[in-house]
Amino acid sequence: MAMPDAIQEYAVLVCGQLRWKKARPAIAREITAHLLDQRDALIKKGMDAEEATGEAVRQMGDAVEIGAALDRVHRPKPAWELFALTVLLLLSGLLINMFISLELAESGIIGAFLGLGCMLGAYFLDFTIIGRRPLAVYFGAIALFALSLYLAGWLYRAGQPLFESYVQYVTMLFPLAYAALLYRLRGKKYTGLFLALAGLVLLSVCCLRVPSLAGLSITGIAGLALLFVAAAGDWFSTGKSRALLFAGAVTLSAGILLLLAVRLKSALAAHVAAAFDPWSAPMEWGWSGVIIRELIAGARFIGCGTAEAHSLPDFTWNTDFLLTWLIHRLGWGAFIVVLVILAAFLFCGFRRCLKQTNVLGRLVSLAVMLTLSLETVFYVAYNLGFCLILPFSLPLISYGNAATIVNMGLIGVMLSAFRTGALVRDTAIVYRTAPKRLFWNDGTLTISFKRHME
Amino acid sequence: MMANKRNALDGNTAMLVLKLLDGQDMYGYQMIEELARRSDRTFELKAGTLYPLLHALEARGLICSYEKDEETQRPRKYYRLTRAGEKHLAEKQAAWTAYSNTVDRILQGGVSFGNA
Repeated sequence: MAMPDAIQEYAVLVCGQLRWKKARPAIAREITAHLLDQRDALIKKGMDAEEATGEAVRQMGDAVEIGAALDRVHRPKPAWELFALTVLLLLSGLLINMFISLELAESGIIGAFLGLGCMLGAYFLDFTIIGRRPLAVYFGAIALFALSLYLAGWLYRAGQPLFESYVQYVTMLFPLAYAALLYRLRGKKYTGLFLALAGLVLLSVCCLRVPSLAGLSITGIAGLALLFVAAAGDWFSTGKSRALLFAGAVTLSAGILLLLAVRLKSALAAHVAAAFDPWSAPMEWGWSGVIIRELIAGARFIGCGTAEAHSLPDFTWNTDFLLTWLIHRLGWGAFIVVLVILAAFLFCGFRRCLKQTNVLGRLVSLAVMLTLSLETVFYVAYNLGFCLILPFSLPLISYGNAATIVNMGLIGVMLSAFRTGALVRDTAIVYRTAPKRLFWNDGTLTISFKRHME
Repeated sequence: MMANKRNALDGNTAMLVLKLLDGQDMYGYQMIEELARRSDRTFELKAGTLYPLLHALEARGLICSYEKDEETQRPRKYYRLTRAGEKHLAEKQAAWTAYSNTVDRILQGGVSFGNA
């Protein structure tokens, strides 16, 4: 039966009162479904269709009044505190880089503006596209990685080797891509669990291809955390405990593989040993660790440290030691200030993640927060002399335009999820598994050729 | 405006709506019908009152919702009680029971606060 004009007009009038346009479609669907239910019930009681439609609309009440009441509830919820902290982190980064070198700061300003553009673009782009096209997002990230790798090889052969170092930044997108894949695997039972594992393995192989230990660690740890979150919510419909057991077994296997790799590869074992005790190999793996620990040993709470000049790395080109520089030149106090701002950002971000009621918003925001947190942890550990994983960057602070642009794009996606996440509905799994094609109702056989919803 | 919203959420209608969702997910029309049935048509909840209330309860995290297509091929938005909603309902129910018991005792002449 076609939708009566009166019902459509009523829904349009209700939604017309809502100032937030993104809230309108979901409300229109709900109001329309209610009116159709009411109309059908009245028809069953003996009314004709036109009379029943009019009565259903009348019983619903004043459209403007309902719309105004709904408008008071539905407002976008921008995460202003995260916007403010993002800008504060960017400014802190520019200020610190300015102390190190004016050239570094000038170049950083360009990166900051490009990053802001990416962040705002992602913020105003509807993040639910990740839920509507999850496979495109997942394979798109892999395709982008493959393209970067190909271009890097081509440029290397053409005498431009620098581009090669940029390929690793594409791996920062992998946790988000993995969140999209997990979202697509809802209700797929054991097939879903094994595909989730395969998806994570594929991304990890890409990281090994760079090779990027930071990329592998971020993808692996964030991926496993997302798998646990999905399992805890029984996202695969296998039962919560079975999915958690599977995620636990995958984590344990990854741990055993890692230990085996360290045992079998002597270079890797030496690297790990030097991370804990850099003086065990001061001229090889432990070189950076020794310098950093010497610099830190002579640091003061406020003011320049006492380390000898010959041990200083050239901070004007090497931005992997920004915090070490800060501790050495300005003191532990400056380091603590930067860390407090970062911690505030991460705390506010995770708190918002936990408040997300829909799975898509939660997975997406968690993927971004895990990426940023792990980047921070690796950077801080490296700058305190634990040189196991060469970090990408200190999010928004350390110099590196590529990292800043990717990080700010990710933050934009997350802020978009926080802003509009309340409108996202996780469509129930029940319908997806058994869509009906044939209906028998009141002596009428209906055959549906409609494709069931994704 | 804010006061009205708070009153609506803290009022008895909100408690009845939360109670309807205790143990079963429902969509709006179903809730109106169910409330009318359980109250022998004493409470005829208006749709115009119900939906803003449901959306406000959802914004407070007391209920959540999901869409589900059914045999009618009409997508329906189902509401579900959250843990915060269960807690809120238990508090409201306890307060209501205490209140109604006191009113009952007064009406039956059974409450005395002193020897006047």
